[in-house]
Amino acid sequence: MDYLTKMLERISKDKYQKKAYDTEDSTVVIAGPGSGKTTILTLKIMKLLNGHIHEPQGLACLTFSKEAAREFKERLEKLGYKKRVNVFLGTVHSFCVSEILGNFAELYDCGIPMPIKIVPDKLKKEIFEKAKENVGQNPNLKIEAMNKQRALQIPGSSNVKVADDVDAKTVAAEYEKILYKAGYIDFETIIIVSTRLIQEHEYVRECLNAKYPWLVIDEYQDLGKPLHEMVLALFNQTNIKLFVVGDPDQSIYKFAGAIPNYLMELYDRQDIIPVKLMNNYRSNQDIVDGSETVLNIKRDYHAATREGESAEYRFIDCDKGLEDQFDYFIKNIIPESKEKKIPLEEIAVLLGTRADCQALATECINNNVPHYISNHIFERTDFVKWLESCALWVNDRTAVSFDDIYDYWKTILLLKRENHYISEKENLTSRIALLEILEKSIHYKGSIKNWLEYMYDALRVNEVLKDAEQLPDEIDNLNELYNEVCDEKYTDYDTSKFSKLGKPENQITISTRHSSKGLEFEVVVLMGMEENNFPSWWVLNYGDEEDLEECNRMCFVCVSRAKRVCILMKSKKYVKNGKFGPYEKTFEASRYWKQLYQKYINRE
Amino acid sequence: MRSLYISRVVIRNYRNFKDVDIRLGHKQIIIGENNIGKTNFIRALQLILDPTLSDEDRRLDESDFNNTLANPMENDEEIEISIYISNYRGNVAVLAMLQGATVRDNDMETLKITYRFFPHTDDNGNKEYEYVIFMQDDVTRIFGAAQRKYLNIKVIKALRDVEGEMKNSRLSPVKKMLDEYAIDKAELERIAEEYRKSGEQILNIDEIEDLTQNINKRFNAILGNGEHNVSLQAMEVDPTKVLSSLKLLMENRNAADVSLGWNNILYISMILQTLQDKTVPTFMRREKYEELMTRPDSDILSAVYTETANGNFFLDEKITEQQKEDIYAFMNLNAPTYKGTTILVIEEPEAHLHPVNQRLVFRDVIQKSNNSVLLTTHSTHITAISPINSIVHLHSSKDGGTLVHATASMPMDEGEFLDVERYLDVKRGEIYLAKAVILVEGIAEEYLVPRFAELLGKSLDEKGIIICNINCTNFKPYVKLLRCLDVPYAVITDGDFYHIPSGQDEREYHVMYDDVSDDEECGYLGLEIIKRMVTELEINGATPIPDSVAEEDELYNSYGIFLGNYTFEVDMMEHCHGKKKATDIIVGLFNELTTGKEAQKANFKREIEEEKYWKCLKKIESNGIGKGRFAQKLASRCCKEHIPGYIKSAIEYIYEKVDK
Repeated sequence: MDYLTKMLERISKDKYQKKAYDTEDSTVVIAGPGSGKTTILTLKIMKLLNGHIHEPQGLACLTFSKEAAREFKERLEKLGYKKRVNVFLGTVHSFCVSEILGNFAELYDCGIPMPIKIVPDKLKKEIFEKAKENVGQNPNLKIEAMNKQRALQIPGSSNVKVADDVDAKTVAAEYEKILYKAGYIDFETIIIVSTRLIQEHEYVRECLNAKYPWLVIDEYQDLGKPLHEMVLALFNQTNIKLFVVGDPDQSIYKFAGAIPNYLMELYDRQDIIPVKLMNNYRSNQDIVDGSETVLNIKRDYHAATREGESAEYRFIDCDKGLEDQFDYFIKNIIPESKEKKIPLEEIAVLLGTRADCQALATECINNNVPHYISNHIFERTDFVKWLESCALWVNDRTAVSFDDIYDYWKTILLLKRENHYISEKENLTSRIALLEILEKSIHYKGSIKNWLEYMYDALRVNEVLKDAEQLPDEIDNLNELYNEVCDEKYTDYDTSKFSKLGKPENQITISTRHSSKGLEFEVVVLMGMEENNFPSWWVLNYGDEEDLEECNRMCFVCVSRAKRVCILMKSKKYVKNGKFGPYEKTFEASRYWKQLYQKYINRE
Repeated sequence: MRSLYISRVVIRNYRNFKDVDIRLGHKQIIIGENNIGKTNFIRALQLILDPTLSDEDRRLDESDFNNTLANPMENDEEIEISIYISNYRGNVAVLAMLQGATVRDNDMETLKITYRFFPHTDDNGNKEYEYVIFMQDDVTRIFGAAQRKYLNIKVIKALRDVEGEMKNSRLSPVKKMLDEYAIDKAELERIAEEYRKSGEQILNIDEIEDLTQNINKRFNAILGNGEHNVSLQAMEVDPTKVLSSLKLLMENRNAADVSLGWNNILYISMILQTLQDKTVPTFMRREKYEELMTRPDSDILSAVYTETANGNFFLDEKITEQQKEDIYAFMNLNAPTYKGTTILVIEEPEAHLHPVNQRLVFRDVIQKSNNSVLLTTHSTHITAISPINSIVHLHSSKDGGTLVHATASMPMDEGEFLDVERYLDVKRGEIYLAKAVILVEGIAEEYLVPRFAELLGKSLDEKGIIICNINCTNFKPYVKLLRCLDVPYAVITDGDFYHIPSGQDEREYHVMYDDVSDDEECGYLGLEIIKRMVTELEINGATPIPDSVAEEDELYNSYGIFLGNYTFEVDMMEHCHGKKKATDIIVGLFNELTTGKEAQKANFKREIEEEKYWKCLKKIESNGIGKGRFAQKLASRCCKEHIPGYIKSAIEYIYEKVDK
């Protein structure tokens, strides 16, 4: 039985998944934690491509991250997907750049500088500071607040209303002025201008409709207003059909303008079929129920695996600060887990801030606990992913085709060429050159560090990527990658372990609560579970109802990462720095602690 | 629904074309004399669009550069051909594949595809010419085979090999059309089996039996054994070849044997049929029909399809426009074909067509086709009936290159179109093929001007200058057309002098200038008409129209417009004044033609001597003569002295234009 048939058989046993697969019209799928959304998405894409969409038409599958797009691609290939024209698989941003701005921005006056040059991060921050200074705004205003405000300003047909941030608005106007004058655009511009192009020009809609009669979108709750307006414009004014997947309960990017209401607005439409996946294939029923408890909304999700298993909820009360919690974790929980033969990579500690993560990491180093911080420094960009393919080829030539490797390299070579033209002959020369480099690199394949050193040098990456407007941050990123492999722990890594870089291997995971999304572990440790820490003092004193709801959702995400064990830790007091020096402050247990305690400890 | 079409072509440095930028329409007639570059023009389009061209064919060389360029490859010259496509927005396949080609042309979304042959210097400093075909203005957006599948061109060469193609089962359009039905294999096997059975029966006559035996005997005698059985077969019994064995019959004769003319029409009809949009099929198998009936809004299916005796379905012949739209929308949504669009080019269809059939092919087959068609021709039978706005006119420039002008974007109002088209139908569109045109307003000029030219030693025929009698004084649409095509022209028209007698307010014509008293208001109707045309067409540009009649006349002469004082005959007679020989010829001719008596002949002679030309003209127009007959007769006897000054100037003007 091939993989596709096997998977189809599997989903046909889940009536919710089956329903989502079977719909013939636009559909919104609410997919809670562990509900198998990737399976549904990829199977749906196969179904559409195999019977419903005829060449040269295709479909666009938009994801939130590059990583997710790559995961989909790999999964689709496993399901038997063969490359065909007009199938787009990538992030929302790359879709906007290549399919909307690339084709149409020059046709109509969009008020942005052409050709498209994306502002490097560093410059973006400088421009933001300058803009604040120019308009005399509060220097504490965060760049995220401005970006959010810019996104909210887009007009459209959504009925979801969000109040303006007046300060951010003034800065935004000045910022855009400086940015465009400098000849750059940023990621926000990409989405905003793309949405406007779709809203304002029938031609753009017709073209997208012709090329992509179906739009498949993942993680809809993470996409803010401009994308929502873009989807509404396409849905209301073309024949494009939607297959949207998301989970309002996992919407935790309010600071960036993402709120669950946009997803729900689609879900509640009469002309879209709503489907809710009710089965959880990750956690046991206690964890499922506990996550709903902290969410403070009953979802009635059902644990479809781990039948009859009950969860282990533990409540650890420490004395002072996070330090005591770290200490308890290292001295007690780690040894216990070892005893119970729980592998280290099945353990995660979730904390509020990056600084807290760093502090724990330091403790781990001091105590020889292998750990991994998921906020790793280098980004798995397409270029890094390409280096990974090269490393794979070096070890096994049948694992990846040299043609594919060269194709990407060619796009990099073209970046620098003034006329973006490469002749057949040059093509051949570059191919041969790349092949030679790869072959010589085999010599260094025993050490990932030496191999990278050789590759950077032979490929002349600094030269090739210098001033590459499409990839402004790539050189910095490659340097981060290099620094990473220089780390002691990688000294015995050979090139075959490239793909394992930056991924936990027999290590515990340390992550911020935010970044835990999408991960899963046997054991999840939630530290800092005091009221005024989580939910934070700010939310409780200055936030509104919505802020608290988002906090609930954050806790829902954290608890639902666990498959079986959920450990909550808190301290009675923390040392704070006040006007007159350090002082101790007492803290009460977090409401989430109390809710879970009430549910699971008091019941016994 | 009309298909997309090439709406603009820009050519630089390719063969005859130094610098061409023209706008085209849905149906285009490309005309011009032999060797002017019609084929090269088509070739330019093929470089981009023809899927049958090889890589080698697309790689040009030094000889493909325009010959006005010295050492083009040494000087890094480039050849560039761009086409713009319009009216494609309803075409989903094209929109899906080629949206990256979108540019804005005249503020409209248009697809632009460019072929470029250019020098490329590689990293080692070696220069080599390369070609690239790309979309929009971005050389990384390659227009290649994948794109060409959905937008291409088919060129039917001067129709000299139709017979071969019709007979060749692989290339036959009949075979292609049959293939599209994807006829069931079992069905073909059944037919083959029936063929075999009945074939055996039919051939069951003794003569055949005898022949077969004899062949077998001889054959096996040579091979020395009896293992090989030779037999005769009446029909193709191989299921895979049943379809290719089908022959087209016309009037029950094999189409390949009927006259070439019919054959050509048949061929063109079939090609157009293969290119049709088949979103709404005329035939549907039962299974397909039933599957489609399950889709939403399938009522339209049963409304327009009727079941056949075999249980399949035919599209009804007569369906309403609304039904047409509905079924198209339904099929496009539920069973889109996305076959790709082909622009058809037919080179010189007249090669083997009788003039009557040329008209048939053009009017009924090509004009009515939804596909865009480009046609090269020098048949006046075709140009005569071509819509005025569908002309692409090729003619040679001073430096030996080719200039191209097209009428597709020429602004003309409905009335003007009808006027010119009606005229061209009669005149068989000669003016398109002329080197230069003299526009005249009546039959007399039409007869006499060519003769006058000969008398002046400037034969019009020899230079390819034609006389175009428009039978009225509305020269404007013709001048507009000729200017648009950049064909040199001269206008000869009457001055139509008039005066307003004192105490009256109406103009009075048919008077001589000398008979009008000084205090009377007078003028020239001809000048007024020309002035209106010159200013409306902005022929004068920024030059103001002078107040003085003499200066005004001079200005118009510089534009090729020549006016008499009165009317042609009167001007001619006045010009003859005092020239006995010339006057005698006119008088003699009148005497010969008139039905009047001697007294009238004497009156005519007297009046011409007394310069009462209007009276003379009146006599020519009556008495059973008429201006036309008079001019026709005069043409064979006239002499240089008859030629009025303005006509002489016109002939000299146009001659000079052509010689340039």
